[in-house]
Amino acid sequence: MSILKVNAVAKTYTTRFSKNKVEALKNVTFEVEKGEYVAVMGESGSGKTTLLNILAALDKPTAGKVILDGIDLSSVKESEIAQFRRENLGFVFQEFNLLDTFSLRDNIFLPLVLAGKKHADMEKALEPIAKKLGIEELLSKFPYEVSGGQKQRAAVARAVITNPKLILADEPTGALDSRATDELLGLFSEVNKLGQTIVMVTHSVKAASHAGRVLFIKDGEVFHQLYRGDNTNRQMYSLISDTLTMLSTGGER
Amino acid sequence: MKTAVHTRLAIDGIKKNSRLYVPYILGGAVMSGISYIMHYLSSDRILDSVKKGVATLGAFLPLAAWIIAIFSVIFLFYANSFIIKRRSRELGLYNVLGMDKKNIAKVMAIESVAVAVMSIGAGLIFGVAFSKLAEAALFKALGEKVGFAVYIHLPAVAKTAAVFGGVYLLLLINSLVRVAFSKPASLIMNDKAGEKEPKGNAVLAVIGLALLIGAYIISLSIKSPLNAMMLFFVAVIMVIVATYLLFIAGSVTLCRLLKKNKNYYYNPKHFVSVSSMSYRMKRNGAGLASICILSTMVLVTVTATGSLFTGLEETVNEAFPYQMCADAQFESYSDLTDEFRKDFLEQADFLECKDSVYYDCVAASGYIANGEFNDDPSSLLIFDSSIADNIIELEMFSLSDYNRITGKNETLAEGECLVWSDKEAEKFDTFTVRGEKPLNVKKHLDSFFATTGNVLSSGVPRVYIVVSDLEKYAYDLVQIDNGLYDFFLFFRSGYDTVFADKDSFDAGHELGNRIFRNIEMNNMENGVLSTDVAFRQEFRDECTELYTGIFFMGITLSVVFLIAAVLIIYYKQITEGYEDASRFSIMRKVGMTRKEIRKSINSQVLTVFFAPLAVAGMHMAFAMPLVSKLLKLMYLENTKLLVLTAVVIFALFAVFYAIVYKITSHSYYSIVNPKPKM
Repeated sequence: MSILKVNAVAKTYTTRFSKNKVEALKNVTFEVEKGEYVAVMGESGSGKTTLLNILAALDKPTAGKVILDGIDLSSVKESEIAQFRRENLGFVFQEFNLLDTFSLRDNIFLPLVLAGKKHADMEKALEPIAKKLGIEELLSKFPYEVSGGQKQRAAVARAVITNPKLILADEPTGALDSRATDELLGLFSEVNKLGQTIVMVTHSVKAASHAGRVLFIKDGEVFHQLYRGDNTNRQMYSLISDTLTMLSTGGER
Repeated sequence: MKTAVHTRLAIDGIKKNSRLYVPYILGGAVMSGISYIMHYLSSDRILDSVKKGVATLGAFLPLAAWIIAIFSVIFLFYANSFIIKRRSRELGLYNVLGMDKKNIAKVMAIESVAVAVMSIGAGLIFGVAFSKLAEAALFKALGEKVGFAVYIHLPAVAKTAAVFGGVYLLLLINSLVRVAFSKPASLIMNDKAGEKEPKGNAVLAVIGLALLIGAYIISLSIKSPLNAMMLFFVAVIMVIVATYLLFIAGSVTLCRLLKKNKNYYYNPKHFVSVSSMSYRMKRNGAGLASICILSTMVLVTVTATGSLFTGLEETVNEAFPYQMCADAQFESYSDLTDEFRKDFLEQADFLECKDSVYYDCVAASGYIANGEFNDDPSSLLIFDSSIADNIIELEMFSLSDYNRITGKNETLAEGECLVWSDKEAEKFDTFTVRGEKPLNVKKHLDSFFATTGNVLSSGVPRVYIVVSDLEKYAYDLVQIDNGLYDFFLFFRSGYDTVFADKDSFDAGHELGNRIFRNIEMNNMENGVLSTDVAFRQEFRDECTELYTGIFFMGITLSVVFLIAAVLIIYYKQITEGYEDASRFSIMRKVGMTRKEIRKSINSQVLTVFFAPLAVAGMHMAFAMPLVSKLLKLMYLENTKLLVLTAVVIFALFAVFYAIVYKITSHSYYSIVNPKPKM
């Protein structure tokens, strides 16, 4: 069963000073099955961030449709979009986007508080997640007191605590050192094994090599995709590298 | 680089940061405008055209101009340091991109000049425009006619431009020094750590509370205006320190308590606001305390000067129950003969008065304890508050005068007396002077006839003693002359409705002066030390002058305090706005709706923002007893009027505060929650 359908999505920007139109996305179509772990790759300017913003309902496509679990995102009212996002999506950002006014615990609670949950329920929901992510000891600390990897784990906790239909990760390893990157990717795989659907935008081959499927975007279109099949991470890594080389040298499909 | 580039960068800098610069320029403009008005009003052109009040106005108004200049320096520095802090990122970027410090300095210099020109220019236009209004108000207060010509006073323009030009030069030097000593990396860096809860918070709170209670007790317990004068500034400083400590400790404690209450804290309405509050709890406390103190200053200043001004007529009537008072002072009771009294009153008949009063009176100043009056001047030199609180003006009357004037029929046996006293003075059952035989107090009188010598008493409580035979009782007191020459014998008289209008006042004034001058000349050998004639109208003029001067200064200072308070409120809101903007944008990404953000902001601002107003109101209420004592030094006795004025002023201020809050929180809102660009 597919949870996310992206159907012929296009996004065109008009620049401020000229009438030239810039096509960020031309025609993107793909589906994500429930429980899938998809990485979206592409070079800078390939349109992957635009795609992510559209999936996150932060931006609207100029053409095409995005359907999340049967709901057309364009049919959600502007005033309800934030609530929709909060209830259906979880986010992990490159810059963590933790609030420095909150302790890690409160940062993780934020979406639950906004949803009006009771405090006791929040604690109950947090306990297994914190244990799994190994941040039980850090919950009372503030973001500026912990390392980047620890911050990102807290951000993952915040994303999963609402049991979202879809987790959107934007370059989640971009600000991490290699050890923290490994840890985080391990966590993503584990979370995914528990049935969580993840869509991750990245240009890190290593990050993408953990995914079940890798989509390559070039010039605003899905150019190619790779399925993991029975490949190991290492095998995935070299497959992705090859594909990228082919893409940048302009080889044919 | 060429100057044109610098100029463009400077102008762009101001334009792009208009949110920071507009209030800064406006604040400077209002300050320099008021300064111009003060210089204008104290110029010869104005002072020559008013007959009265030249001395007081000439002294007060330039003083006010200087105080404004000093405050301008403080507040413009505050605003400027804020602007530099905000702009350091941009300047750091220029630096990193290869613009050296010399060029940055040049940009800043151009910017400063532009700001100074705009501020002072707008200030002068504002000043000239409103100077006519101020002039009219001043003339009206002094009871003079105003012309219609609008006039630009060049020396005042020059003075204002010079002083404020100097202020902006200081600001520029300060900015340049800051840039010179800064490193580009630190210019771009931005510290994100929150504030730690200070250690010993409880101790701070206790010290603050103790100081506050101490100051309030001072205000409530002081009886004498003289003590009030001495302790006023002590109390003010105590309150200022206490306010800072309590607001800081209070905001820390409040944050802790709110966070502990999980059900309150983990509520979408409070979650964000409580955490941001505790993130900057100390700074928040200090900011609120500053707002509170400035608000209190405005309230107390306006109330005090305003009630003085509005209570003028009553004060004058209280001090001068008769339009004209005439006294003669004698060396000894043996000189105050019936012959003199008759002669004196006959002379006064020339004045065709309709109502008059005359009586003998023995007066002295000293302090009273348990009904024992001590007039030893050396004991008054000791600044002992128990003595200062008991200083009184003593006046003694004869029963025959009392009965004649009041129409009553009191009787007194030998060794008995009647007593009337101000409510501040202590009550006693026996009255003793200099170890003489004590007089038993037969009765405490509720009221007394209007005496004519009150002007001198200026706030010191009065005690009146009526004895059966004043001459007999006080003969020796007046006589004694061993360096303790403190009991004065007067023959006093008051006359009413002598002068129907201003012309007849002038005539009567001259006649009165001449008559009593004659009496003095004729009786120099007969033991008359001096005669004194005083006119209510003269006193009124004197008070008008004094009060107008004080009122203008009070209003001016209040405006300055008010601008300072508004600037602090505004800059506090926008600093927090810039800090919170990134947070709210994260929250929007995580899924907070615009509506929720608005609610959360309202909760945050409302919880903390009206605290300073409430505390300022409390300070004001507790300051009133002290202020009322101080006003007694300036003859204002009407406490009811003071309270009424205080209530009205507070209500007006609260409305003003709410408006400022509304406007500034709007700018906060537009920073943290910008309209979507779609």
